[in-house]
Amino acid sequence: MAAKAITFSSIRDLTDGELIVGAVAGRADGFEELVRRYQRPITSYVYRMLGDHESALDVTQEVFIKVYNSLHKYSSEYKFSTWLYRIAHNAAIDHMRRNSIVPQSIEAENADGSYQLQIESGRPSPEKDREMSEWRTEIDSVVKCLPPAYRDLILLRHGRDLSYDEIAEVTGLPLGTVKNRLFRAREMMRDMFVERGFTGF
Amino acid sequence: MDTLRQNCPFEDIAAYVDGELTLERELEVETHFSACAECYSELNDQKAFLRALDQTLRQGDLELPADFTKVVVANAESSVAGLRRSQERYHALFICIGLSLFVLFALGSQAENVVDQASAVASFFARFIYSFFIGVAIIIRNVASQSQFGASTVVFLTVIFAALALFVSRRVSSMRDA
Repeated sequence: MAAKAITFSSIRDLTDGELIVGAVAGRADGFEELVRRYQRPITSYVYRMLGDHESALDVTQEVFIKVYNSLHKYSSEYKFSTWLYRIAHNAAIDHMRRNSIVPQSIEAENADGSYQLQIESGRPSPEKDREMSEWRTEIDSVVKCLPPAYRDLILLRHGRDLSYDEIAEVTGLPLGTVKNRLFRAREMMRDMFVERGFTGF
Repeated sequence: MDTLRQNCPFEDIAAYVDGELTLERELEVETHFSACAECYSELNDQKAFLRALDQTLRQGDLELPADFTKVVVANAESSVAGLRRSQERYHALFICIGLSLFVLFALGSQAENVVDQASAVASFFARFIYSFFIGVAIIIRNVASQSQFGASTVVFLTVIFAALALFVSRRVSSMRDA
């Protein structure tokens, strides 16, 4: 019993790499622990990409099934989380394509590499003092208005704290494009805040 | 003033806040900050803005259904391709053959010694293979008599068909693995 308790507590101390080795060797609890570790961040990322709770759960499940089926192909030259986000990124983009969620914004850019602003209409007039929770709602709503290709980068950078290099690996974009698109996305968000009457950024 | 603005490293300010500039570029940008009040104020705005983004987007992880992990793991494990590599399939085949041999030995256990048991199993296999080929020969002869082809053509077509089926199934499984 004591030995069992030790095994139980130690699986949480194992690194992702050790869990993967265990899972590939047929240890069921290795994969389960990986799912437990990453299910929330992946679901949140996918949810913010798609904006729909049910689809986010479905796509997350799809992501982990894909992970399970390709675990033996995972190469430790990548960070596991980067590899996982790449699968989640592809699954979210696929889902958008299948469901034709503004497909033109996934990749299509204007000739100068910029996107059209998509401002939500009928916003209430701005107030001066807003609570932080209102701020958060506002930021969430602005993120939703971003074209998916920009939203993706903002979520990976600010929601998941990925470095530019990791974002480049996840999205398959060149590093320069990542940097440039993040810059444009943030400028676009700040413009949207100004449109909504927020100043100070 | 406009020419100065054009030289301002706006795109690099956010990257600077993100800590993503090379050391050399970082020093250049810092020198610029000390000379350009506008960029310095832009830097502060960017910091506040990026902090607000971090705080908002790192919070609010979704509530998951209580059994979500279990459901995901169960679904993943039931997806057939799974972690099973081709090597494992050979292992499975090996075990199956071993088990069936054991069963055959058990069937022949009335024999008094191991040699008799082995010969019983061997004669069973021999009869099995003999019957199999007799069966195939009968089928081929019947098919050939029904069609305008000769028996050898039917055998040839069957072999081609089997090879094609094997090839297609391998292609499909390699595409699925990719």
